[in-house]
Amino acid sequence: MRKLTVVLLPVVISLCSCFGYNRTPPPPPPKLVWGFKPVFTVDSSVLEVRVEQPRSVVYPGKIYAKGNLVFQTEVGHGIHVYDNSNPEDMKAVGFIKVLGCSEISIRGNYLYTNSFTDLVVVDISDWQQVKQTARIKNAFYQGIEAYQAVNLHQFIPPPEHGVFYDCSEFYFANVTSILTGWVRDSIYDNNCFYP
Amino acid sequence: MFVKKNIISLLIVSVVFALACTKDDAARQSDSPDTGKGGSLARFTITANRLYIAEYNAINVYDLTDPTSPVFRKTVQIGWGVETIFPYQDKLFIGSFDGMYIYSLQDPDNPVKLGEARHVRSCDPVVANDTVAYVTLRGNSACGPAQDGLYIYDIKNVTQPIQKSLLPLSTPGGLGLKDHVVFICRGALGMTLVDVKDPAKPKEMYTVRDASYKDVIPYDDLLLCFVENGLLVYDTKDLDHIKKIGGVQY
Repeated sequence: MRKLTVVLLPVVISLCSCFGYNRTPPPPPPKLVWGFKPVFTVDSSVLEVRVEQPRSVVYPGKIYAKGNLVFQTEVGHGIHVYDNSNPEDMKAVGFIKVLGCSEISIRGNYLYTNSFTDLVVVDISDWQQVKQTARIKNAFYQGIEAYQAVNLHQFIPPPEHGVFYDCSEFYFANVTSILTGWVRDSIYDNNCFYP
Repeated sequence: MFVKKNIISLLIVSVVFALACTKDDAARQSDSPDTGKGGSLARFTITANRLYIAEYNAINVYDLTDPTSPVFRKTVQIGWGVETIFPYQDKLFIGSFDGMYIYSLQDPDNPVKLGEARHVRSCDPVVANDTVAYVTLRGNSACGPAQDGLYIYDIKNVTQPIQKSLLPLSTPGGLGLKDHVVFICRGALGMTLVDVKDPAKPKEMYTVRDASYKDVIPYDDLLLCFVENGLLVYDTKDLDHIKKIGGVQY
């Protein structure tokens, strides 16, 4: 009898592990948690490029140095401008608002950036009075149309890390809807997660 | 519907992967004083009067002859997982998931592939000069297994980059080049200076640890660093003793 147990026990254990492995447990029902919901608008004036007062840095992005100015993108929202004429006393002097921005390059008096998937050209000859000179629709990711529809949230990330956010709405968002940001709300935890 | 959904999730997964690898730091360049110096993830770059936009698996070329209004010229298909784009003289260096590609810009509207180093699974940036390309690789990322370190390639024959050396360094990220020194951001481990006078024998010089470093832009005698809680400026006149002279805190 004991012998039998010795022989059978490992077999039973391994079989159990087999069953356990094959049987996927039913997913727990979704729970309501604090998270973020996207805010959309159809008012295209939010895309206007303009200079504002310096603002606090939440998601610092790419850096660019030109002359005495240093630029750093604020992912999703625009570009911080710093005066570096005296490196010992570098100062934030302004913020160029460009919704959905993450890239930056400069040539001459023109700053090139993106607003979501659009390429935007900004005249910075007087950076306190910037002017958009061109906006080229979908210059980025023109090959992947699905990208544009469902990945807007890659351009304006939720304002905190380690949170759930409602990404289901992106599938249904109208093409004319513009993502402007996020609002804290209770959402189900089977949603997207921002690590 | 199911299939469509799957395709979309696949797409999202690939894009998330791309973003996971994408660095908030990285390659930079300057082809003229007019252009200034850029950094980071550099998904687009200006050279030869053209703007090159790296998208997921292609490069879009825009003509900047009229700087106020770019004109679309062409889309060139490239491997996959394009990460960084770094121009040097008449070439484009492209870091992607599956390799480093070198494109000729002799005809700026029509980049032509000259060569590639496929084993460099580079999620990380590239900087280069006439004969040498520097790549940092981080092995523990989604980009594939590789030993962490600074990889140096001989690109005298651009159609066939040859690995000259590997300097093991943990968690390397954004990098910059000044004279014979490469600055390598290593996050919380600091910023390490490497002497690359002899590309076959890179020598670790020293590491500064004033912050958690993400990216650098060397320009003139200054080094601009993007660190976790702000920007730092170093005086690099004496590369043996760079000096922190300023910056801002977020």
